[in-house]
Amino acid sequence: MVPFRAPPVTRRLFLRGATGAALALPLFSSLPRALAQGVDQAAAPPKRLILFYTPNGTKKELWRPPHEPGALSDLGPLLEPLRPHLRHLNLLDGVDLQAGLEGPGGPHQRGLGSLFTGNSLNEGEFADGDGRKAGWAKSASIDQLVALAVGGGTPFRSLELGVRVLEPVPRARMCCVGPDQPLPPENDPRLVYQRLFAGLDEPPALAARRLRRRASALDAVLADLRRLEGRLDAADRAKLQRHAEGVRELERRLSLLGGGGLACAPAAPAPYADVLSEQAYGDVARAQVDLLVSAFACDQTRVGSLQCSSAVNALRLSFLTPPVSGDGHSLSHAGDTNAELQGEWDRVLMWYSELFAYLLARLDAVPEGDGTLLDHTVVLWGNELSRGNTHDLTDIPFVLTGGGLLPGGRYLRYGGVPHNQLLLALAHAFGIEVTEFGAPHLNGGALSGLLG
Amino acid sequence: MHTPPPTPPLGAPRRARPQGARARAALPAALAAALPAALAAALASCEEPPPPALAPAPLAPLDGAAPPPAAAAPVAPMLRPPEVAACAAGEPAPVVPSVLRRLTRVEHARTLQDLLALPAEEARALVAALPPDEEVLGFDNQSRSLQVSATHIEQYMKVAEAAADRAASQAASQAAALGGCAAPLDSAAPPAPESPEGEACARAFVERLGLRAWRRPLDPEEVEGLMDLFRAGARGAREDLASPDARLFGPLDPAHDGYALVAAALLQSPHFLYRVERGAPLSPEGRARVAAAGGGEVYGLTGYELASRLSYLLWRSMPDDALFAAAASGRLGTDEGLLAEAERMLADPRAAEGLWSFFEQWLALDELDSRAKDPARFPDYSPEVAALLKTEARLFLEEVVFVERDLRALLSAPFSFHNRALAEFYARGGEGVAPPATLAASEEWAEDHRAGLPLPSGDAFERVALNPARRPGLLTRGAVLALTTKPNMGDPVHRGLYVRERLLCTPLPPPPPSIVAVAPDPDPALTTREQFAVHSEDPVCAGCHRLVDPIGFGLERFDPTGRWRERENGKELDDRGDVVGTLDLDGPFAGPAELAARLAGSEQVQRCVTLNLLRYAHGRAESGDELCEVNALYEGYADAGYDLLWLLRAVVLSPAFRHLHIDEAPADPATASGAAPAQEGE
Repeated sequence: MVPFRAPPVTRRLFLRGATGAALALPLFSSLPRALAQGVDQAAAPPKRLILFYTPNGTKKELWRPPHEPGALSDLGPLLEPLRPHLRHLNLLDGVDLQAGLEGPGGPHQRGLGSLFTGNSLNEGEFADGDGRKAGWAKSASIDQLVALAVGGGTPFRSLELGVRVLEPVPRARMCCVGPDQPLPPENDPRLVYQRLFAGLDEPPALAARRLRRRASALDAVLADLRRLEGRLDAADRAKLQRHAEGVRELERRLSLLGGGGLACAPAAPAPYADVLSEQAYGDVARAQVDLLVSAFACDQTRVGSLQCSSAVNALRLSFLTPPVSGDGHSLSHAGDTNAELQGEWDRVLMWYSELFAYLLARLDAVPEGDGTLLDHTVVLWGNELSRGNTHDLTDIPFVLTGGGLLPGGRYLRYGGVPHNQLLLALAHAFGIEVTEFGAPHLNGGALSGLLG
Repeated sequence: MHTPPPTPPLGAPRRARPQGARARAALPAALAAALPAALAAALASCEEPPPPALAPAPLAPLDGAAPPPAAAAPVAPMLRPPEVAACAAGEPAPVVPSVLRRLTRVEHARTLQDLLALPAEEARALVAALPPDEEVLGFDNQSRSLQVSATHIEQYMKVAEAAADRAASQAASQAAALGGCAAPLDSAAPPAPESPEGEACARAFVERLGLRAWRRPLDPEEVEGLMDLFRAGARGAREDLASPDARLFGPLDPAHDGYALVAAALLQSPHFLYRVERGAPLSPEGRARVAAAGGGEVYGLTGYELASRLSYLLWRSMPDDALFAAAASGRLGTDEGLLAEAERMLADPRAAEGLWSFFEQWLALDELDSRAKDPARFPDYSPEVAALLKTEARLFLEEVVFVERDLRALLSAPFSFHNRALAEFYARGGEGVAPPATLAASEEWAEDHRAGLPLPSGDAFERVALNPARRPGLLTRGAVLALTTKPNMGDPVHRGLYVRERLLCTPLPPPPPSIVAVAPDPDPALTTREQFAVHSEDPVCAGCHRLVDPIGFGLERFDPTGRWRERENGKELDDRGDVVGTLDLDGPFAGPAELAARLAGSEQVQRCVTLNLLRYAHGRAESGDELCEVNALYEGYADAGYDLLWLLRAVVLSPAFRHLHIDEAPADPATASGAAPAQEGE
């Protein structure tokens, strides 16, 4: 097995399509932003958001800084890998998944379902680990709201990446476009690479030929969809309408992927026999981080998420030395006095901190304007629980970088507020003037003091 | 033309049954209705009610007496078939609302495989990048839950493009076979796409591939639209060839470009990706036989729509040419015609392939791949072994369904299929079993199997006889035993849950929210049974765990890889167990043989089979309106000696399978302005 090598990412001016056939495409009315102007290094840097998720809770006592709230000057042992990025970090105490305490489903389902939506789940038939049942999320996740505001000019409104997200069930879906519309994350770095970068460097005429043919086929599909509207019930009609919206969005995106000599794309990730294997987990996770950062560096998207496994999983970090023999979910349930299993669980948690640190470091390695991508990217790290062996949905270990939209270097303590306030504050940071997010009765304004 | 039969011509029942028992006085059907109420009574300490899907409404006691005290509630009386007026013969059959069914990833692959005559692996590779299908009620084909995200649509496009390229390359032989073309396209002088011969070839291609991809004949407007696409594709290629960039494109064939564009449009159209059903008006007689449950309108199905329902039920793929011919001839409109096609299809090897999809999901065998074992404890358990175990289970199931034709054998039959590698894996045994020098010398093998039989010698799987005291039925096959245990310890809870959920259709109510479930830490000095003792000692846990753990204890002599063991952690094992809270299999038992015999003789298990098959067949959960229909299907299945093929034929002939019920919402004026829907007749 060939480990992924982090490809060098350098930010280069977008030159694609400045001349040649891509400009002459007759099929789509909107000229892509990148085609029209390139990315201007002097203009204000884009606003960007990344949601990062790790499963099964943490240990807040090892996570908290060893000092009182205020300026962040030190880190707890579990977050030690983040030390190089201290000035970017906001660590939050006392923010609860109150929406996850409500509605149908088991604790893992409700936790993940509410984490980025601020809402409970719909009724449904999907069983959680304990047999309780729920459906999909009740409303859109914060990344999708932000994507609507900042993602329209880039080829991908948002990018959902996963690492070994095995089951298509509510406890494995954290992003959604709207009620009952979960977004499946892509687990395979090779496929992500193809979506993002394949063909970008081919001659404009080839890209134009493919685009012309794709547009013809997609127009025919849209015509078929239009003719199908009669004799359907409301749910099926809504599904076909979503299908049609998806086709239109695909046409839009394809029109932005012009080809034409772009040199931005990183090297393709190495092939894996099985990207879903436990052994590949660490390498795939880093490859996905690299691709996410590359997608940002090339301005293919401005909103992304990385979901590590899913809530409740039978994943063992068997690639570590020595291998962790217990699976993540079982370890998170170990009794507090079981030193052996708790020691393994600590190593799992530490590995996730290192992965998060790797993401920040990769962002920080890409220069942009007078700083780096990290200076212009808000990264929110969440978990569906605060602690595994009690299924505690309060005091979630949120880590948030400032990204140029809010201050950093802070340790903030709140008194058990619903995390809807955090998500609402994020919306405001992105200039989205909404007055509530998620479940209306759990709002009460944006999280005070977060935006500085 | 939909003439419901007075007596479905399903063949003679194998088991005589008094005619009175078949009167449509249904048992509160399906198990589904009866059981949770029974359970709720039996399980005083499981605080939450059972999930609503399985507990429509508590049933009133039939005799009007007060309900018996919870703890002592005998469940058997709940099974007595009540006289329910709605089940009286002659009433119109209720048809519940239909759902638009999207092809699942498996169906998509199989359809491309049959459409383009591809090898199976190649077809699977084509759809590999599609997101996995959402699984509800254990199945991946539950339509309401199947999503269509941006990723789906992008991948549908890419799959269609790759498949279209194949289709275009095949166009020559296909069109030539149809006789519509002057010359094969790959000959030295293919007809120019703009020539009359080229147009004729294209039209033949559009009509032929269109029929098979959309699973119905195209209407003239659709054909013309696709012909325009063909011309646009060919014209585009001509322009590309004439452009200054021509050398970039390599060799271009305008006809191929035209065909490929047509195929790409066909293969990502909603008519391909969904099983679109428009229905046809019912005759007055047909209308009198069905009733729209819950409002809306009931239609008949066109022959082609029925053909697709048949093929996706039995083959999980598109109809073949013979089925299309039956659809075109109107034969599927009669019971005899429909049944004849079902018989033909069940005899085809694709039926075993299609049915495996049902069994793999119902019995969770598809989850075996993700159940790794602790390599320190089980160094010889590998994905390769898991694949062997799965093959064993599959061959066993096929034998039970197609040869034994009695689903009770699923739970009790003492035979299986091994090849040499699998036999050696079993023969190495679990803890306390001495690994043999050779398979022939294996005491474990001799104990596990009937002595004196030849050993499997090669890669091929052979039917082997097993020791009925040790290895009766599916529960004692390695696949099930391995998938129901954790990586490094025994797991009576999940083995018991498996029996409850998959075989008895009674998922447990979840723990009360007040319980903080902290599992006990494994103690290497104890057996699994001893470690789980807290479940029966702590009354908070015992309420629910007594429903599962004691079933799982019966399988304690099988280790997490499915091998027989004499000891665990150095201690003697105890495989006595108990079943409580069921309709007809309560009571203590000792070891796998008694458990298997209990399950094999249970009506509850077979009603659960019926429910699962219906969920899979209709792509949706059962409705309370269907209680009588479900019960009638069960009773016929029982009369037929629990022959699953009988049940499949009965499902095919049932009103739910042969009708379309749409509760059409008012059209949205903003979007309903388009062309009239394509009409098709029968």
